[in-house]
Order: sequence, then structure tokens, then C-alpha cells
Amino acid sequence: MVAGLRELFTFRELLWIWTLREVTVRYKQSFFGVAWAVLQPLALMAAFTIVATFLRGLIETGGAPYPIFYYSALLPWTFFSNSVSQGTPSMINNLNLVVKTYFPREILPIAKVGVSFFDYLVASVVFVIMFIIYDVPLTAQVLWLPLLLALQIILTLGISFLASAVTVLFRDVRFLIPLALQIMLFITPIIYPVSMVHESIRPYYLVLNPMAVFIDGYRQVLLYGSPPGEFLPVAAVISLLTFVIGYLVFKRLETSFADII
Amino acid sequence: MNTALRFDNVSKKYHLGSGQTNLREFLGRSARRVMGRPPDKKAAENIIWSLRDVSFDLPRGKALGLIGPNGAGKSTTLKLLARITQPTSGKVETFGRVASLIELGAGFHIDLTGRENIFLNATILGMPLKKVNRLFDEIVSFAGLEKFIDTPLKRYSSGMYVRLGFAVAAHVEPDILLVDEVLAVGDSQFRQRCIERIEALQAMGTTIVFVSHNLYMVKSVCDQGIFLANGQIHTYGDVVDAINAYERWHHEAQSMEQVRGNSRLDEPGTSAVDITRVELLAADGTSSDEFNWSEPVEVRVHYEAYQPVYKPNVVLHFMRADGTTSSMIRAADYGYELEKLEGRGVISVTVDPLQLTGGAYVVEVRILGNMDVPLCRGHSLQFQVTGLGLSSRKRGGVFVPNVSRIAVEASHEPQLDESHEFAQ
Repeated sequence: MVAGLRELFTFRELLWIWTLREVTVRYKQSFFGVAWAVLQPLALMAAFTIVATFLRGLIETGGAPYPIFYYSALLPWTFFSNSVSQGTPSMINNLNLVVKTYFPREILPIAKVGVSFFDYLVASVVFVIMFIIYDVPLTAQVLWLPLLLALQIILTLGISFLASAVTVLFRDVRFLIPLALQIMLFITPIIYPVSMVHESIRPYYLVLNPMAVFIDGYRQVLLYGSPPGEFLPVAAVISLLTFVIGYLVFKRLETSFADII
Repeated sequence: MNTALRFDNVSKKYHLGSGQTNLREFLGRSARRVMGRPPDKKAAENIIWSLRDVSFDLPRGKALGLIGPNGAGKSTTLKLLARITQPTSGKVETFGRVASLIELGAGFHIDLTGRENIFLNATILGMPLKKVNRLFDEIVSFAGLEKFIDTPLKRYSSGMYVRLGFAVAAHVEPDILLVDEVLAVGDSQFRQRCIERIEALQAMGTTIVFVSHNLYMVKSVCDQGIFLANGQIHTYGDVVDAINAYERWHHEAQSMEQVRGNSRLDEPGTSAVDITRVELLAADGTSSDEFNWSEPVEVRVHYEAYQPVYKPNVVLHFMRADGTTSSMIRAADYGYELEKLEGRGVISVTVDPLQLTGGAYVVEVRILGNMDVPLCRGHSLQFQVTGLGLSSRKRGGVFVPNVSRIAVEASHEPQLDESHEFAQ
């Protein structure tokens, strides 16, 4: 694993150029360009706000206005979901490269995470504007943000490694991942707060899904000025494990990619 | 360390067929394994050995030409060197930075401009960004694309595309450069420039591995040569020797084809005798298709004569899988005179010991009549020889420490034996 990471480091310039390439290609081809990065979480936010309004107070936001309550969850969720769904076919979509050149293959899914991160940064600008409009007070708890973000990226990378490597072997995975992400959207506290999950199942809910801990963490830290929940260490361990397992599986399967594709 | 690259007993196996699996097939296979049933027959038949036990060293600064017919394993060798794929067994070592021109512009993206693609492709080939910046103008002028450098690649002609690809790769200045048949594209002027560039790199000490069907070009670029046939090294040495061996092999393969094609004996019912079956028996009398080089082999030729055949001669032609002759055993040369073939019977030829170097072989059996006229269609059988590996140092197909004992015996029904035993 160490040798793999060291080699990745020697190819860091390629990772950088490749990520830039992915960003450029994506925005060159579309008319609205960078606006798409904002549009996706913004549209979902609008939809959820409307639904929540129809439900008339059924969703308990703890005093936060619906738009900011939803955007705070949709911003990291979109980052996660885009990274995984675009990273999954990254190997088979770059068939020509994988078959004809050598470089550490993990660059391909990592670059997809990088592209989604770029979108995330762009979309964050809107978040900052919302904070100013709604005049939400920020506390020192926002210092948790870098840690939450780092752990989320580690988890995202782990899952992307696993999904992209296994997709080379079984193309079916490509169809499985969007479905899994859709289901995950509902078992993660995005539409509703964690407090609405019944207490008897809440521990399982948070242990089994690190993303639930992170999303709740973002809300706690940004909207309520309190630290992330007590399950953060568990989520951190699971994220790290996912990363290590994902990377090892990826490296193990990597040698056969060119033969299988 | 003065070695640039090393192959140590490298074998590479490929599974033919689509290569893709879906979950259903995978689950089916796993289920078979769990139930203890043998795997699909189809899967086992679809295996092909692209390289088998290939070993060689290449000193630094040499230019090696890889030649051989299609499917000999040339491209697989390059892919292993480029680390695009991994050997099934054995070890591939490269010392220094490897850049491959296996396909020019493999990392190009048609929506990006020439400029963006130069940066992308150069970093894929392992060039540091600083160096790309420094050499950028040189690369552009080598490709002759100054006017089009900010045009997206989708507007490029295929010639421009290839020129840009080579220009980038040629400036990477690797320790080892792999070139695969890419110079066949482009106009002759550009091709000339490519060769000059390769020669300049070689003068700077770059090790070069070059694959081409153009033997003239191989001869002009390379000093060493490997002739690969059926995944094994046939000849390794001076490029001229390798090319000569390849040409000879090619010639033989062609003439053999012609002999077979012209034979009127291929039509059934035209021959006086037919070989109905050939079996290979090990020392203990069991039928096998794998033999140790030091053990005896009995070749049993079952025949059916439609009319009495007098004083026939039996010839065993042992060939390596690539068609090169390893040995030819003619019963008459060993003093065996078979009187008469009549009805059904068996001719047995024992070679003790077998004494062929390890690898895949074909034995072709023929029955000849007066003046060596073939009496029937030849009958071929494949087998494997184990125990004495064919390394790069032992190049021939025959290993001759002593002479094998040859014994021929014939019997037919009814039992009118004419047995001979003769030690050489």
C-alpha cells in the first residue's frame, strides 16, 4: 500500500493535469458551464423545501429555515454522490488509456472526486450567500468543517476505488451504484433531521452509514453551533477502513484491468 | 548494473472470448466450484499462451528489434515492458523510466486543444511539468503544428494527430523507449524525422525496443534482434541473425504449406494405405501427450492398407510448435526394412530417450513407398516435452549429448509378425 501511494505521489502532476482536463472538458461542452455545479443542489433544495412546506411542520428543522437546512445537507451529499456515480465507470470509460498506457490507475477515480470537489467549491459560494441572507450566526464550531470534509473525502475515495475496480469485472455494478445512491439519499438525514429517526434504531442508523454522521455533523456545526455527534469517531474509523480496503482491492485488481477491458 | 531490461521465465496467458463477465456467469462459475463440479469446458479451451517461458536480458543503450509473425507475442512483450499488463508467471524488470509509443496519442482528448493535449500526454508519459513548459515550443515545431496549436483536436487530420503524438513522446527522453509499429503512419518525410529522432535518442544512451513488420526498418534502427514464434524465443542475438532466422522460418512455413496444399493424397480413397490413428506411449505403455526429455517414447502408427504395400518406409518428423524441424527419423536409415503392409496393423517406432528440449511439439507421421513417394496423407499429433527448458542460451530444438536408440516394430492382423530389434 505504501509503495502504491509513493508511486501515486510521483504521478501527482498527472493527477493534477488530468483533473484539470476533466473539469475543462465538462464545462467546455455545456452551455451553462459552471452554473451546473450550483444548479444541481439548488434545484433539489427548492424541491425539498416545497415538499417540506406541504408537510406543514412535520419536518422539525430546529428553527433553521428550510432552504438553508436542505442546502447544508445537499451540498456535501451532491459532492459524495457525484464522485461515486462518476467515479464508478471511470475505468471502463477510459479504456483507450488503460489498455495503451501505464500510470497508477487510481488517478482516474481520484480525478472524478477532484472534479466533484471543484463543483462543491463553486456551489459553496451560494451557501455563503445564503448565510449572509438568512443572517445565521457562525460559532467556533465551524473549525470542525475541515475534519468532516477530510473524512468524507476519505470515505468517498474508498467507495470510488471499490466501485470502479469491480465495475471492470462486472459491468452490472454500473447499474447497481445509481440505485444504491438513490436508496442512500433516503437513509441519510437529508430530507429529515437525525432527531426524527426513532431512538431505538438511531445507533444502528449512524454506525452503518458514516455519511449520516457527516451530514448531521455539517448541520450541527453550521446551523446549530454545536459539535458533531458522538458517532463521529466510529464514522471516522469506518471511513478509513473503507479507504484501505478499497485501495487494496483496487491495487489487487489493477494488474488485470488491461487484460479484462 | 548495466542491464536495461530483463525477462525471467515470463509467461503470459490470455483468456479468449469477450473477456467481460457479468454477474450471472460469475455466480454460475462460483456455484460450480462450491458444488465441486469441474469448470466449464469452454472456459478451459479459450486459454491462449501469448508468451511461454521467455527469458532474456538487454544491456543498456542497445536497440532491440522484436520480429515474428502475427500472434508471436511481440505486442504482449511490449505491453509487459510498459507495465500495461502483468505476467501470468515469471518476472519482468525494467531499470529506468519507460516511455511507450505503443499507440501515439493514446491519452489525447479530441475536445481539448493541441496545447492542452501536449501537457496531458506528456504527463501521462511521465514528463515533469517544468520540462513540458521548457520543451513546449520545440515539441510544437517538431510536429509542425504552430498554426493549429490552439485548435481542438477534433479538427485535426489523422496525420496531424500522429505527428503531435510522436512529437510529445519523442521529447520525453526516457531511459527505455518502446516503439510499436507506429511509424508506419505519417508521410515518408515525417517518418524519416522520426527515425532520426530515435537514432538521436539512442546516441544519448536510451535503450530502445522496436516492434515492426518492416524488417528493413528493424535492421536500420536496431543492433539486437529477437525472433519470436508462438510465444517463445526462436533466435536472440545480432539483429541480422534474427532477421535471417525469421526469413528462413517464413520460407519454410510457406513451402510446407504448398506441399500440403498440392498433395493429391489429401483426397480420400486415392491412397494405397491410410494412417488411421497415431498414439504416443510412455515407458510404462500408457498413452500420453506429455513426456520428459530423458524418457523413451513409443510412437504407434495404426494403418489400414487397401492393397499390399511392399517395402514401405516410415518417417517421423518432429517439429516445434512454430514449424521448425527438430528431428527427422526415417526407419530405413536405421536399417529397418519393413517387408509388407497388409490389412490393418501397427508400426511401432521407439525413440529412447526422446531428447528434445522442452516445449510444444508436433510429430508428423508419413508412410513412404518406393523412391520416397508418399503413400498416404501425413498424420500429425501434438505433444509436450518437459524437463529441459528452452532458455535464451540454448537456442536449438535438439539437445544431443548422445544418440537415441531407435527401434521399429510392425505387426498386422492376422498375426504375421515381422519384428526387429536393433540398437544403434
